[in-house]
Amino acid sequence: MKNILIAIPQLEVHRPPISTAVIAGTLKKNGFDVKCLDLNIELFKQWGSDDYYHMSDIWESNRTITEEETIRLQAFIKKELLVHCDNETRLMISVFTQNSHLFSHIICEMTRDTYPQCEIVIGGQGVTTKNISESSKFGEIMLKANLVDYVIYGEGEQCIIELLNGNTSYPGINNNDKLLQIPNLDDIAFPNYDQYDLQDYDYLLNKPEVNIVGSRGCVRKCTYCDVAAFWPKFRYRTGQNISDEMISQYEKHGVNTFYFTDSLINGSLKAFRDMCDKLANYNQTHKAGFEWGGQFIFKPKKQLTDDYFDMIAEAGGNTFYVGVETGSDKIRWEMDKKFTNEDIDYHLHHFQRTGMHCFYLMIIGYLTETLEDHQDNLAMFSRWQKYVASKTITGIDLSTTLGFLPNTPLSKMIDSHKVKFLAKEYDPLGNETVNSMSWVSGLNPELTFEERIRRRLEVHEYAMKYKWPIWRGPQRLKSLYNLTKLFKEGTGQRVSLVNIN
Amino acid sequence: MLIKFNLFGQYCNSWPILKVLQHDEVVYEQEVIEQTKIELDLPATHIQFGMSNKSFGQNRRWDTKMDSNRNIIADKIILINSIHLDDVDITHLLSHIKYSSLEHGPLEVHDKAIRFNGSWSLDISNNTYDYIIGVNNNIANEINKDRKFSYFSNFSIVGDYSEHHETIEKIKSYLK
Repeated sequence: MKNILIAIPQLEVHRPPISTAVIAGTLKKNGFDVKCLDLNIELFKQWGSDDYYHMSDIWESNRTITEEETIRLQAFIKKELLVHCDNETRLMISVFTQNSHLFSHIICEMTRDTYPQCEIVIGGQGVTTKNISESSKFGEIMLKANLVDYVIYGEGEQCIIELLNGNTSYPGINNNDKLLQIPNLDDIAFPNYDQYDLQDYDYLLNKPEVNIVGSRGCVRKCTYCDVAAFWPKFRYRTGQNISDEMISQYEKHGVNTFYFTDSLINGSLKAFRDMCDKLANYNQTHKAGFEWGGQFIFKPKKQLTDDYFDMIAEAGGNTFYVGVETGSDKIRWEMDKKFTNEDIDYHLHHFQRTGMHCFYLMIIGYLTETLEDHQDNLAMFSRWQKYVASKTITGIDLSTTLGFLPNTPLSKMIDSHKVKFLAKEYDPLGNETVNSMSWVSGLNPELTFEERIRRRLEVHEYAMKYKWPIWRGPQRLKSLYNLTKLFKEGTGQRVSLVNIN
Repeated sequence: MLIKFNLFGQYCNSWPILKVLQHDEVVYEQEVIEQTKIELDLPATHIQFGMSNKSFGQNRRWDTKMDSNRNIIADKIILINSIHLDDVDITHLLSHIKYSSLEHGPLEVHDKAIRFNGSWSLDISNNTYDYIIGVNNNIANEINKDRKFSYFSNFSIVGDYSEHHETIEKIKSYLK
């Protein structure tokens, strides 16, 4: 069989896709040939920036696709994908998030119609996405509709090899019950970008940048987060293995800029220190000029020494994304975050001193948030404005508001906090479900839905008043608008996957 | 606001003088003798600073001296190591703000050296951080003008909140 591996929208265009590059590396390492196509970057190149970004509202379920757009997309898929396929093809599709569902669906339908014998495999985080009250995951929906032959749940590196070797009963293949986790992440092949033209991408810093994975899972169990449901155990690569990969990409492709996709880059301090040491040494001897960043956790200052920050900066650590979540120490503690505003002060001071940058990731309107906590949220913006001025803080994502994700500690508090969901919506197959952000808690009656939206807007207004750079601001507000509309109207419908021809 | 100058004065006939003004009133005027650190605690308002005593032939005195091959052998200059405003380094901003030279008009200074009489003018009103962020945003927006970014990218649009205000008003009207 001929193997074709594709990356599809919605993905960013600022770096080549790592998911398919890792699978390509794994297949090559195990002796399989594969053709890699990045349909996302092709779409960007062929349609141009305006038309490409005009589709974002569709991928993000803010509007339905028009007939004209469907026809144009189908023509694109025919030209860029189907010409490479036949009935002897195994088509492997990487579904990154729910924002890839519609594109996946269109591809699978077209492939099935044209080449009924073509074997279709989907995998990636997006195959497991479902709403808090939905019964079916995307993968199950696609299997049931006979639009795919195999769904790979969980970590795909071993599953795909088992599947290609004919072991279709391997845990994770069409079965989400007993997923196996790769015990030693150092065993995974390095991403293989040989079939990607690295000049095609719209790099943020106008120089090639690639993703890298240093760990899976998280050392924290924050109440709102579902990472532990997917990766119960925190596993990490050795510092040596990570730095080897970075050096190898630098020596092979000249890439010296990396973004870690980890839930947190400094979960294992030992591996992190090892990696920093090795990169700093290589930087010194080869003038490689490494720059890297990723999600990062602020730790209590008593656990750190000042040279920790110098070590990171010397290794090329540059920009970090931190789940600050709230300006209230009380709420952050209830979220199980384990650091305080004073710890944030400490980190910001040293980030500024060493020339590093950070983005804040926030959740406004937590389950137990009081008016006093809300005042703490507002106070953040003047307290840390100095660091916006020094560009130590380079962005803040205020998110939409708190939503309940399945299999999180928060989802287990629904009964004890007397949580009710106020708005209904329909899943892609037309089943009735609830909107996970439209909640109220019986234990926190002052935080009505309207009050939660009011506070969220007030926080946004304070961020603007103090001139903070708001990351994804318009998109988040658009989602908030849709949520408010849904709440007022009581019922809404997410973009349906059915009835698309 | 606390402004901290870390400067180096270069001698030629006399030492250069740093002059600081607020609303046309001189609040500081002193020689910069080699390595000099100056800290001024001033009201957070409009400020100007620059060199004030370089002579370009007045009374037949030139504060730049050249040899017979026209190589400069001595020059009255203030070199800027750093300038901090309320603990934020603004040295990098100076190349984006025009230096009003009395001799040559508005100049872009890219080498952190004040070679002419005149001043930089920082239009601060109340909040120094607001001013610094405003200048930073103008620089960033000039670089990223007309560029679009992916939802998943780590890029933030800075300074222009018009789209934000518009949607906020729509949400508020829905909630009424």
